[in-house]
Amino acid sequence: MELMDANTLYRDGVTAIRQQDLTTGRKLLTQSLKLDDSNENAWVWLARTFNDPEQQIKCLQRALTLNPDNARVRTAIDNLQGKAHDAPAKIRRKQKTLTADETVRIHALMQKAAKSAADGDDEAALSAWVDVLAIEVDHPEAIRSAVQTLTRLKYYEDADELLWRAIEAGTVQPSIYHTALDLARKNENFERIKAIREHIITLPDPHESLVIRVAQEYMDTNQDEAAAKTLVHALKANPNHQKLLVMMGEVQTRFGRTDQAVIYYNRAAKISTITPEGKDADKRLSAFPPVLTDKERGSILLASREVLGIVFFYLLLAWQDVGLDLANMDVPHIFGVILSGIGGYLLITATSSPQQTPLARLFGGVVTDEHRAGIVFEKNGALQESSQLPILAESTRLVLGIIGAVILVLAFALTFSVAIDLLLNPITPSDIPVPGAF
Amino acid sequence: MAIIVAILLFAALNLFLSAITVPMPINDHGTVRYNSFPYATAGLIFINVVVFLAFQAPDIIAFVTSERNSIEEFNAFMSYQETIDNYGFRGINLREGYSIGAFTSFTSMFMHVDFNHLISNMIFLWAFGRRLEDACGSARFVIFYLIAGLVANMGTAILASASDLSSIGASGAIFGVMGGYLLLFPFAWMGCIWIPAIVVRFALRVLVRLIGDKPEGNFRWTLQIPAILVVGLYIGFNVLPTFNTIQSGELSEGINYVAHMLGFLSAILIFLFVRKDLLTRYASGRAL
Repeated sequence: MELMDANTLYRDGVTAIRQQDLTTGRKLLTQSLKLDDSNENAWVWLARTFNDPEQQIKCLQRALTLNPDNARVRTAIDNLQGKAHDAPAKIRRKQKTLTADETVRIHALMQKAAKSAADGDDEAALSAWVDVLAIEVDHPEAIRSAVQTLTRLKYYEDADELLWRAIEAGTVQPSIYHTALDLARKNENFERIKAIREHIITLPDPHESLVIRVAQEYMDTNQDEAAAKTLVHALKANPNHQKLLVMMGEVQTRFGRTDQAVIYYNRAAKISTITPEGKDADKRLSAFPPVLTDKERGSILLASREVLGIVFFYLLLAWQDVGLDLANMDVPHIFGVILSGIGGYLLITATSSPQQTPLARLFGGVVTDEHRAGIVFEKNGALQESSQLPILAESTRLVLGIIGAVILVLAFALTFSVAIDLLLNPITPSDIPVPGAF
Repeated sequence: MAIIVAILLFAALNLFLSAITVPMPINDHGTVRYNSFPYATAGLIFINVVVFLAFQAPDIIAFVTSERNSIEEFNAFMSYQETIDNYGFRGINLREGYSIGAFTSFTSMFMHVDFNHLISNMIFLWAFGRRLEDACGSARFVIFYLIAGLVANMGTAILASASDLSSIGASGAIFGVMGGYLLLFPFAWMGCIWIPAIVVRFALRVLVRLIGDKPEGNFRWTLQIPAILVVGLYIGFNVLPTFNTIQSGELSEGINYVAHMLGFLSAILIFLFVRKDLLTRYASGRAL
């Protein structure tokens, strides 16, 4: 580390900021303020190196404590506080593209650091790593080595600062966040833990391990709202992440929203039941009614399957009625079986499959508010997700159901005509054999 | 009244003794996902009991209480036989158009030989039917039950065509229910009564007390056995006699094993009746 006084560092820092090199500017100003934290202007300039309003406010507040009469700083804080309050979960990742010179310089610095570390010169090694991090704020090897060394030397605050700087710059390396959280926990720096967690959920696509950790930590401390917020954010980026879905299900269960929990567990289980998370979701689902999806409700194939069951039943009736001789089946019996298919289909459509695609729309079905609104309970107890499928109107279903039932009765009369005739005019056999029970 | 109680006690004792050889399933411990009351299962049991008490029990009681070789005993026997011949299932009824024809396929399903026959069948229906009904829904479950019974009856008429015996009983349909249960919930735990296990368990508790310790938990009369073993055991007992019956074309031993097996095989049709969401779960290899 070059030996420079606070003023020189301050001047260089300001120059760097004016040249739009915010990272270097921040580094130099931070070093300057470490040597002399009473430089009011250094705090103001440092604030300009941050994009996060909260960080800017912290810097400006330090400046204000040094000069409470600074009206410009006060106004800036007021403005920023409004901004921080309304700040959306914005994307803060600003991955810098390294120039060729920077790459060469990083390589040289890393070699220098490695040599110094091998020689046991921690200070020189640290200096080189910090220089690397000034160029690339989240250089994996440099930050890991620097943090390890600083932690070993018990310079926890410096290690924390390096990590936080990388986080502030929008690094996407999960190990940096994990290390920062571990370090903050070790130092019992709860403010830092909170800041890191909040930062994670502003990332556009936070690493799953981070989200899971943060959500789990929130859940372990009964901060279920925060856990839900974290998981919702992560699920937007990874809607098919089983572990996140299961955790979300658990959070919903804690809220007492079991219907929502089922939806999340069901989604997780549907992805796969081979994975431990899928098995877990499937196991949890056994305590709830299953979810009926739009795909299942809208399927003509699944409705036809039930119709096939009814047709099979009528076929058995007709087969018996013609004396167990299929070849002997006459036109009324065949017609009865065919009718059973038509009647069965109408009855099934009216009862268990009123949302078949595209039949429901063709019959004037609409998407009801109840279905669109969210989760509702069906009559048979199966949960449904919010649906965009049209459903037949109650009156249409009633009419179809009645027509279907009448057709089925007619089909029964045709397929069982001989038996009905015998029922009305029974013929008793003369011989009385011994009964066989089964 | 005393006679009815005596008959019921005798039937219960008979069932208890039959549990010496094989475990008798009396309950299942699976999750009922829809939490619905098993209206169809309970309704079927109710109809079976009512049909038996209204049309068969009076003749049985009259037969048992009549003086031996008396005209009353003979009349009771004749009345009992006539009911079975008119409403039991026989191939000849279908082929020649006797009695009420194909309606006997249904009526025979709700008739039983005696109290013992009725009680054992209803216990099995209760044990396996509730969860299957939950998986199908009541209406579809009833159709499945009837189809299993029809398949069992028709199969008997075709495969044991030389026999002219009347077949009665719900067990063809109940074997269908057992088969459906096996397909959907093969590893569900069934609570079974099995006398050897009860004796051993009781003896162990006595032993624990004798050595001055206190046995853990309450004494349990039932043994938990996976459905696949319970159903497999009962199917195993039916395989050989079924082939014998098919070979001879005659029903033997007073039990229609062919109906049991065909009812069981008709269980494959359960996939036409199980709820859509459960079918999707089943197809994707998920737990029901």
